[in-house]
Amino acid sequence: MASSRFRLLLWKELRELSRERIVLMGLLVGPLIMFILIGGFAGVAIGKAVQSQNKTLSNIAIYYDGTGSPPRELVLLARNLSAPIYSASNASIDRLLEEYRVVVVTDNGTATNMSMGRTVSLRVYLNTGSVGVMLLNSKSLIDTILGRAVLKAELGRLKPCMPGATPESLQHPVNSTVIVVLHGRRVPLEKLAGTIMGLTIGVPLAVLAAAVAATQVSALSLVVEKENKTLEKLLTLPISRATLISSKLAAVTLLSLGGVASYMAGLLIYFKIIETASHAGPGFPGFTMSPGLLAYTSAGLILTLYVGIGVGFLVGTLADSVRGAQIASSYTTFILALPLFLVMMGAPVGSLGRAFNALLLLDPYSSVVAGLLAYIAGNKIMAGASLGVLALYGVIVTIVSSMLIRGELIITGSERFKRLVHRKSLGVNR
Amino acid sequence: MAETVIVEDLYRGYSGKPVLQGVSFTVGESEIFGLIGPNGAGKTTTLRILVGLLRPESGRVSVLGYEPWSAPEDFKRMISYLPEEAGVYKHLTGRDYLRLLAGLYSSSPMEMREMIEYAETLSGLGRSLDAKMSTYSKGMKRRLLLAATLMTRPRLAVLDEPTSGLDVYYSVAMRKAIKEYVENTGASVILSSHNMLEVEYLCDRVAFLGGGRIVAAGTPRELREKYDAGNLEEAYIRAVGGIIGE
Repeated sequence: MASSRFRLLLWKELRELSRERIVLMGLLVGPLIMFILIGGFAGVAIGKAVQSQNKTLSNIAIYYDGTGSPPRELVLLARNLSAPIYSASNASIDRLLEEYRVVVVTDNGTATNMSMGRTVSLRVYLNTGSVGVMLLNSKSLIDTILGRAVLKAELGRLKPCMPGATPESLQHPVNSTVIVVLHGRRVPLEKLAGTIMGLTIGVPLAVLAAAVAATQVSALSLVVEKENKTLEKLLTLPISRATLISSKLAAVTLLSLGGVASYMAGLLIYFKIIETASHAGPGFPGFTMSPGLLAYTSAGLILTLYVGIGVGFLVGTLADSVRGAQIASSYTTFILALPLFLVMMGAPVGSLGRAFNALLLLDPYSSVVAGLLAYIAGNKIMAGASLGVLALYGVIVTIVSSMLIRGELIITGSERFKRLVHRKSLGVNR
Repeated sequence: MAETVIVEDLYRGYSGKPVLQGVSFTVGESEIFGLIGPNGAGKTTTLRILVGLLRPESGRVSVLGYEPWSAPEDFKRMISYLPEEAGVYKHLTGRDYLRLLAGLYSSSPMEMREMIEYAETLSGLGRSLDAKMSTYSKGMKRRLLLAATLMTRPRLAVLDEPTSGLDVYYSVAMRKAIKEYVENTGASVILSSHNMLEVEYLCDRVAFLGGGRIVAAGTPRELREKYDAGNLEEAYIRAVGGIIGE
């Protein structure tokens, strides 16, 4: 008896839940589409990043900063790297950086260490047009490439008479100090690490947080009125729609800012935990920003917040329940923020190609990150255009939101939307 | 008698489906006008048009001399709307809600205080006014909302099912309050209701809505006589029955 009741109730629950479009979207279809889309973007990003790095590391020059002509060890090293070797008499580091992506600086000490089998310390200049996560991997890649060349040059022939050789030096024949050259500015890679992490992970996450918080809060501010059946009364009160919008906008902005602040605090603690746990110490400095960069990021975040609020108003107008609004705003934000994964997965923004750059520029939630990376890379036009596009979105969402709330769509929107979806799903054309 | 509301040849539909097909009626000053009809007859759509929430597809609507959907803010001070399934703000107390509305409608602290005192008396909620509205029963919410609708002293009160969810005692009290309000202020009331007893008691004139049109209109007595009915319910069934059966 009890089991048949249980079966009946189970049947009822499954039937009800499985026919609920939102549940199906949220549980089954959503994740499937989500991971396929993320996979697609991640694939493009990683492919581009690897391509860019290979291209970079295949364009190497050796600069001999010593006296006389380059020692034999260094000539061998250059030969193994298929790289030309220059010296102070016929070149300068600045001139080489105009032509080569990687310039390895050597001296007499380098040659001595190589011949002794000791770990070779090298200064390496890495020319890059864009800042991305893959840059953090450069040091180990450079060490590996140079290490192989060093071992090939000297180890086999001289191993029996290398008094300084240790297992450690054989495992790590090279320890490079990488100096990133970004549009003429030279910054040690280790000092850039925190900034890169911040720009490619911290800022995108902050943008996502702002977008999610703003969209959800503004969608809910309308949908809660609908669900509680207070909207109609509210719209007939002696207040202008402009006052109504601005009061909602102010409340939503304050709450969203609170949400973003909380998110950022959590993120900073997260980075601190990683920093402490990895014992990286001062070699892994935190996310540092110049005043200009900070102002740019703040402007971008505020505009993102504003766009998110507008998107939320649109969702709130079309949704008729809190649950529906939450799911719809999450998916809308996710889809709009998809191109961010290009940045987060390490794609070199400067060399993505026109189509992807246009996508990053035109996507409201990726625009600020693309602009920020362009700002760092010295591309002021792209940086300005990104903020311009965001501001344009801000204007558009303001106009759309005020049209939505002024007209009767706010009352009839969800019903019309449901009818439209229903008609489409039935294949009815009117 | 001056007309507070003039509706002429009103058409309105949703997604191509017609709801109102040439509705016309007028409401005079100090008059309580009832809109009666089955579910989906277009009563709520008509009321929403009268308060400016919806626009008609065609036809003329004049409320206190204004087109409601393009009227200035002052127009909204002269009307008050109680939607059929109006809800409350769960995290506000009843008194907070009254203060909010009184603050929007009043022009002085004295007027605001008077409005709140009137609503306190009319709602009969007493100390419950200081409790969060999420704790209110359906009847308590309706009493508060009706009191809040009348406390603003509107020249036209638009009431969609004003006593739905109220028990007998409060239904009687609310009807009495509506009647007294009209007698004392000279305001007009337009209401929709399924409760024929209420309509018969309250309304000076009644219109039967069916098939998107006004099927019959007049005083309750005229309608009873016209359809040779013992009460308004019978008259309504005889008048609208044909439309429903079509």
